[in-house]
Amino acid sequence: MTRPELKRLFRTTAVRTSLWYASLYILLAGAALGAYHWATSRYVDAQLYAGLHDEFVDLRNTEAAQGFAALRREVVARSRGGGPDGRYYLLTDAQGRKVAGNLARWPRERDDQVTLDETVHPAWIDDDMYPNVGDEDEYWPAIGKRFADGSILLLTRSVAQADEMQLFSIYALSGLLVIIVLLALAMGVFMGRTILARIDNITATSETIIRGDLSRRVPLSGRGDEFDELSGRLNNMLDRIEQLMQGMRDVTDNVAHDLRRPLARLRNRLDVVLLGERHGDEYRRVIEESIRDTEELMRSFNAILQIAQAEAGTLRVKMQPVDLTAIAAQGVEFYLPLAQQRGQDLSLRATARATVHGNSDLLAQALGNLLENAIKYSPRGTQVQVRVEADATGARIRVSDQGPGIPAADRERVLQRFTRLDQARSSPGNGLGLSLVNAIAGLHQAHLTFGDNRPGLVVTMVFPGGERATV
Amino acid sequence: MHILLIEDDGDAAGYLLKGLNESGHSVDHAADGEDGLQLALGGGYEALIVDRMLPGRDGLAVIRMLRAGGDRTPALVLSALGEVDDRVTGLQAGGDDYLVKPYAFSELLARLDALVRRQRPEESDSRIQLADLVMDLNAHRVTRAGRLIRLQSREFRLLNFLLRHQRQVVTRTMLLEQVWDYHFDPQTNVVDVHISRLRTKIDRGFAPPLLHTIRGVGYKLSDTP
Repeated sequence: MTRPELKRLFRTTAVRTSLWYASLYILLAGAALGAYHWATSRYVDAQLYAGLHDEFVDLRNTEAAQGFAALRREVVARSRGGGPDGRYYLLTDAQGRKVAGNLARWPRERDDQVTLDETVHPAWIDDDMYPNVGDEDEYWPAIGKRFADGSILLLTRSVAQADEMQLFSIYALSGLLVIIVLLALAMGVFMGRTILARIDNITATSETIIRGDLSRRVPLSGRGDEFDELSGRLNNMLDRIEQLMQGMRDVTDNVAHDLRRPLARLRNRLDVVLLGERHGDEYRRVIEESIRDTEELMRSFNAILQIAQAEAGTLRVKMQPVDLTAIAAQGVEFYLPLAQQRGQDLSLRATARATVHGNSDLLAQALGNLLENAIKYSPRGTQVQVRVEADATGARIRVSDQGPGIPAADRERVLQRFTRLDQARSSPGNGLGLSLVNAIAGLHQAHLTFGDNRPGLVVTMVFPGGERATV
Repeated sequence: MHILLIEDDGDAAGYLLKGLNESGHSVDHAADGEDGLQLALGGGYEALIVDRMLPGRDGLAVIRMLRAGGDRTPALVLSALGEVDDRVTGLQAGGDDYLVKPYAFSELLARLDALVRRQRPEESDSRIQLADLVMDLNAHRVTRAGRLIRLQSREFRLLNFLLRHQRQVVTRTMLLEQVWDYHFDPQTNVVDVHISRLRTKIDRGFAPPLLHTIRGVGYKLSDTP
């Protein structure tokens, strides 16, 4: 791992967080350790003091019941013990001479501390006072009594073993602390590296996209974690952006395709008319034809603008509750004379009153385009039907005809934005009709499907949301 | 008629001026909202043609100020924005009609004509007449030469619009907007079919023919061709 990589790693939230936690662990564990040490010292001291006091009481009782000689025998017997937790005894006569015991002498210095009041007090014990070498000079608990004849009994006990135990617990806990801190750090680094790896994935994808490949998506780990969630959202966003970009590209393509032909025709006609001398009537005819061409251009232009408007989404189009049934009724009424003129039967079947949230102008236009297609491509003597349905799953408006239909293989293609079938390309119209219907459907979050009417085409616009449809 | 054109695009204004002059109108031109407002406040115009996007003062703001001052001169708003809601805001600001660029000059002329004539008080509120064609609005009855003509309700509305704009050219778009409240351009001749149905009902068996098609522009209901 290079230096900048390390720097980057230590800037990650995970590593920073784990460093913080490690510091916090040290503080907390230090405090806990201190408290533990204090409590156990207290406990051990209390145990030592109690034990010493019990033994002292035992010896005192011996003296009281059996006399000094018995006490002396007892002290001699007990003095054979010792060791790290050894007890030390000193029995002196009235003159202070040692009579029995394994303690070499009376604590020389700080005598005043050994108060013979039959309670345990710390007393300063030099290491030359007892046989065990290696123990340090320190305060040991001690208890003593001056008997009636002036002789003195002193009991004390080494704290070496208790100290050792405490030391051991301190070492153990400190070790634990170090392990915890190391583990926290290791976890932080591990998490940091994992997160960095996932972020790097997203970064790499976004860099590819910045370089121009909008088809790239952030790979998902499949664990369904928050990174997957984030990546999923990013991917959805990218899908939408790509879709919009594609729409833009298609609009541009369409502009090129739909405007180039009439523009070229217009330009050629005007060029040709200028080549020679013409009569006034001929000029008039050419100008009239040119005006018709510009009208065609304007129609295409407006259609493209409208598609762009619908594509822009609800931001620029006012949406409100719209009575789909009323729109269908008016559309059928409007196109009925046209259908009748072409020997077709146009009818409306509305099973329910359907209200959708939308733009009535655009919905009327979408229905108009579908009806014009149905009437235009169907032969005489056929039926064109508009159906409006609404139920819990949503509202639907359906236009069916008995014309040539759309081959199943092309239905997918025709649903893609702005695809034009070859047969439509050669027929009149600017060919943007279905594109606009599709864009309007998209604006309403409606789904456009193409089906087989056997024979003919069924186009259905399915509006989502049962709550919007009132049956 | 005397028209004020407020349009900042010099070329477009030039063509409009020429076209309007040749159609027999006298036109004053202002190139920005401020000048336009001053001229309009001077009064004396029968109609205003106001571009929506103007330097200085927005076209809609000009109309709004005029309306606030009680000026009811009919105003036609020209706009490069072709969206449904723009039309709505344009009309809400006090515009009387809304035309989206690019538009045909014939369309502009027809709409201007319709706007100005709409201002004229109608002879009778319940009866509109052209030659021997009579529409009784109260009885919802149409007769020609005394003979009853049966019309469906939309045909009645269509004829009503044509009668109110008799002897004027009305365009397909105007009919679509006013009769059907449609704001799109059908790719078929569906409006022609409606007109020819109506023509069959009001003209067949009568003379002279009243409902005329003006090629490339629209229709005219008139007793003189």
